[in-house]
Amino acid sequence: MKIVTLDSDEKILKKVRRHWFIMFKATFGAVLMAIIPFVLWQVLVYVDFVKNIPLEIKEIVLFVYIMYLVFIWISYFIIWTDYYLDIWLITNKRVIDVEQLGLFRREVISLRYDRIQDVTVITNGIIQTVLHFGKIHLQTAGERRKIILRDAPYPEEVKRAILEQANLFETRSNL
Amino acid sequence: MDPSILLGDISIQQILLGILSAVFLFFIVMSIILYYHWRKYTERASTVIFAEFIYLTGGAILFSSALILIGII
Repeated sequence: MKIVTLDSDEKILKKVRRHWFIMFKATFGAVLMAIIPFVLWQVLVYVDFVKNIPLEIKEIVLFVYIMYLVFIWISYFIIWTDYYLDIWLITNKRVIDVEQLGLFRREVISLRYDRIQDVTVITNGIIQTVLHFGKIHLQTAGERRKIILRDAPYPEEVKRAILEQANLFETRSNL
Repeated sequence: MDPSILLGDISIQQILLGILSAVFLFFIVMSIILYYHWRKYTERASTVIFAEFIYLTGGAILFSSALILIGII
C-alpha cells in the first residue's frame, strides 16, 4: 500500500473517499469559468462591439483565452488530486485518515479502535440528504482530539463499519 | 504573422511566443508536481492512468492550438 504503511497482520476492510458530488461541483465550476469569457465574447459579437476590431487583435484575444484555459486545466487537476488523495482507510486495527491539503501539505492521522470514544454522523441540507453523504466525526478518548471525514458517501454505513470493528477489537482484546 | 504589427523592435508574434513559453514552463513544473503525487501516493489504479492521459491530452490540445494560432497571426 503506497498511501500508508500497514502492519503485517493488518488488512484494509474499507476505503472511503469523498462523495462524487464534490468533484461534480468542481467540474461544473471549472466548465463555467471556461465558458464565461466565451459567452461574453459572443455577447460582444451580438451587439456588434467587436465588428471594427482588427483580426490580429481578435487572434490575440483568442490566444489569451487559450492561456486562461491552460490555467483552468491545471487548477482543475490540482483540485482533483486533492480530492483523490483524501482517503479514509478502515482496517481491522485502526482508522487512518489521509488528508491532502493543497499540493504541499499532507496529514496522516491514525486512530486505534480502543481510543475511539464516539462516532457522529452529520448530514446537512437537501443535497447531502438526497445524495446520501455527510460528515463523520471520530471523537477520541483522553486527548479530546477529533478526526473528521468530510463528504463521506453513505456515512451511516461507514459509522456502522467502524463501530463493528471497534466491537471486534474490544472482543479480541478481552480474550 | 503580420510583420507590420510591431511593438518597438519586437513583433507581437515574439511576445506571444514568450508568453507561451512561460506558460508552458509553468505547465511542465505543475505536471511534475502532479505526477509526483499520482505516482507516490496512489496505486496506479486505472482512474489515475486515465487522469494522466486526460491531463496530458488536454494540455497538448491547448498548447497546439496556441502554437497554431501564433503561426497564423
